[in-house]
Amino acid sequence: MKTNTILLTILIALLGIGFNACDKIEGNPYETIQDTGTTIDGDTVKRVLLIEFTGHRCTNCPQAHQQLQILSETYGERIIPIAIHSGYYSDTTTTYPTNYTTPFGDNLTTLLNIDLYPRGVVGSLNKDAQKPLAEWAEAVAIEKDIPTTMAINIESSIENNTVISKATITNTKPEIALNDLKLYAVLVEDSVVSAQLNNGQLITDYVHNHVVRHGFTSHLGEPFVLNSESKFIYNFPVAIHSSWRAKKLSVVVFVTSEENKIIQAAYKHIE
Amino acid sequence: MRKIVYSLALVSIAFSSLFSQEEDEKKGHFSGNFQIDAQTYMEDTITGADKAPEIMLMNSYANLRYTYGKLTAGLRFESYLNTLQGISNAYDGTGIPYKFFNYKSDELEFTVGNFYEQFGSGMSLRAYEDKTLGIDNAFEGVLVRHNPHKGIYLKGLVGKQRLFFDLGPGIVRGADAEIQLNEAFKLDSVETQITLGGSFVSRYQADRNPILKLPENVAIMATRLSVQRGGFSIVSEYGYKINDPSADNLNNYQPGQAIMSDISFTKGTFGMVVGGKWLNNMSFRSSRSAQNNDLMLNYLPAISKNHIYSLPAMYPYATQLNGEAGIKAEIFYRLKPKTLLGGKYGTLITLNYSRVQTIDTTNLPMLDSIRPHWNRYETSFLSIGDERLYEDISIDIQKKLSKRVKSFFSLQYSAYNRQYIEGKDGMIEAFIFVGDMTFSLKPKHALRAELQFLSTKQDYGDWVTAALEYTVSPHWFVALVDQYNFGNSDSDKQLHYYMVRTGYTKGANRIQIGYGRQRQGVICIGGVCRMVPASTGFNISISSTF
Repeated sequence: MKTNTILLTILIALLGIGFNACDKIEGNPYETIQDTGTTIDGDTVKRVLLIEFTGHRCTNCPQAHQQLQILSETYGERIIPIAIHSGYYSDTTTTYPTNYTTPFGDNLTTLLNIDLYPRGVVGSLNKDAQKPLAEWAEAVAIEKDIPTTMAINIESSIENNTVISKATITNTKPEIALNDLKLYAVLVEDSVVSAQLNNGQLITDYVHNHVVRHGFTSHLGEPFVLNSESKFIYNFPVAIHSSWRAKKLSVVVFVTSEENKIIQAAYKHIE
Repeated sequence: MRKIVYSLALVSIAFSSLFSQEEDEKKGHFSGNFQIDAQTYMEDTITGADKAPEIMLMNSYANLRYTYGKLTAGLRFESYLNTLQGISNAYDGTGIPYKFFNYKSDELEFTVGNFYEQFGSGMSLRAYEDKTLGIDNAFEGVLVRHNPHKGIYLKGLVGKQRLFFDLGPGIVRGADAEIQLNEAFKLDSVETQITLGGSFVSRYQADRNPILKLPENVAIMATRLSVQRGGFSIVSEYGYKINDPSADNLNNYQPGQAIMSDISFTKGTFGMVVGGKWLNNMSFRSSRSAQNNDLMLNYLPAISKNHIYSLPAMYPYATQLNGEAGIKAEIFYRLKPKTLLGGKYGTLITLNYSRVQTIDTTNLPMLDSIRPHWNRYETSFLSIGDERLYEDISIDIQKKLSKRVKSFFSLQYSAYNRQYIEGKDGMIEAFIFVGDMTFSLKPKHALRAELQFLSTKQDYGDWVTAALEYTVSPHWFVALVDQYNFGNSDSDKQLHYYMVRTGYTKGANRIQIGYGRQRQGVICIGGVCRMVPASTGFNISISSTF
């Protein structure tokens, strides 16, 4: 009977601990932080690439678009989102006639084994870097504080209906060796209006942003080595497709190092 | 393998040395089971099935258990090299993810290591495994069960949940109490049996989100009642969850609620069950960012009928954890033998109906242009929305036609709101017929013939399935199955999905081999589903129990 009493006490204690184990959040849970400044990490500003995997028939994807807007408001230019429309939810139908898929996006989707939408990839181009929406903010917050010595400068212009771009990659601290470097470059378009499923409702005039329209490199990137000045220059042109609007186009370049870690990213609106 | 033998040897030595005083329970014994499922994946340009780079994939496991008196220890070795398609390839690999040590006396039972557990119907907590669906959310931690008084049952646990070959981030604490009033108060002679129960489960997960204040300790509580008198019974459970913003509910902070009730009545050859379910925001996992079938902490079964045949199960329904309201009713009646309608051997007629609607919600205004309200929407308890999510009505007739012929016929109408649930294709309505006849040809020899027909104007159109199965009891069977999508609007996709399989059973050992095509689809067990991709190839399954 003594044992019974002890056990009963333990169970009641556990229950008591449990009843106290609730955190009730009262009122507005949004944190009001802003971290858009140009804090120097290493010798250059770290910019975080967030690759969003989305689709116009993905009913929860607009929630991810909202999250990206909140993150952009919080971190300003320190976060660079790009949206890859791929997989089952990006199939075209009479209701969703616009094809946003690209070979770059499709191949990256396969490479990273993306099978749930929306998904975000932060920090590296590895399968385990894909995050559900609930983990994006945390992943970006961690990633932005990882220092980098890589600087990317993009120049971009339009000549004869062709986007002509040049990326200059610099290791600002040559004494720090950077190995297994690969460059990725994509063309993105903002403010594209077409149908989107949103929480079970069809929105016919939904505004899609950061849509990857073209991969200048393959999904495996362009391997490169830095020259004696710790620089690498990459030129990449593309003819403007009739469905793209030149004023809404931008170029995004990012670089990976060992173990496919994304060490820096840059964004340039084409002028 | 060496690890397993080593672990078991250690367990045996420990038992022998520590508990040898229990003279009457000295004889320990091993038990266990083994299963291997392997399949080759060949490219099939007609069905779109992909070739697996490995050519053959395999899921395998073996449970080993050693019991010595009041003590039991066991483990499960699992090997996914690599994981069969349709089950998450996060399982790829080999290991011993399940091992435990258990002591059980009349009043006390404790388990350290891995364990499964369920509180009530599972509304607040259910850890279980289902290899077919690739689900295994076992706990790793400590479980105590205590029976302090006759009719009073207490349980407490602390642990983390299994996530493939790892553990989820959340720490789970739970307690459950159940009292069987008749037993506890020595009311054995009272015909009405009443059982009351209550459970409380809390999950801890650190908040590292920079833009939202997240609750680190989230609790769910449930209370249940069961009343039984003669052929009449009521089983009901109500659950409440505090704010639990998660990937499932898109960071919705409002509390969750659920109620499930079943009333059943049987008398003689008549029986009926009616039930209802209402829930709002009741997904509960041991990680707020988990999705799919990962780290599920509670279980809310679908209210719709579980279909056994392939075509009636083509559009299965799984509980919508963010909100649904459903009802079900089943009536069965056995017509007596040697009557006009019952025939010589009697006839069992079963009528089943279920319907699930959305709950009624009113969206709350956005806080600004990008921030949704933290509670997302308003709803009231037991409200019913306008949108039909699922409806199913069927009549089954089971009849023995002669000494050697048994029959089963079923007619069914199903409506599945794929637009709401999957975001495509609108509402799918299907009419389905199933006929199944079993002929006893001679002693131990039986032939089963099955014909199914599904008619729909949506999705892939009409299907027919024919199957023949010849059994020589108790050892052999051979089966031929063909599923034909003859109503597909694209004539190039009017395909046959054929399958041939044979198996041999001897005692507790069974081997089955097959070859054929598997169509892409969804399988659901108990309202939990997974996608199965199209595949073509050979498969083999071996199982053994000892």
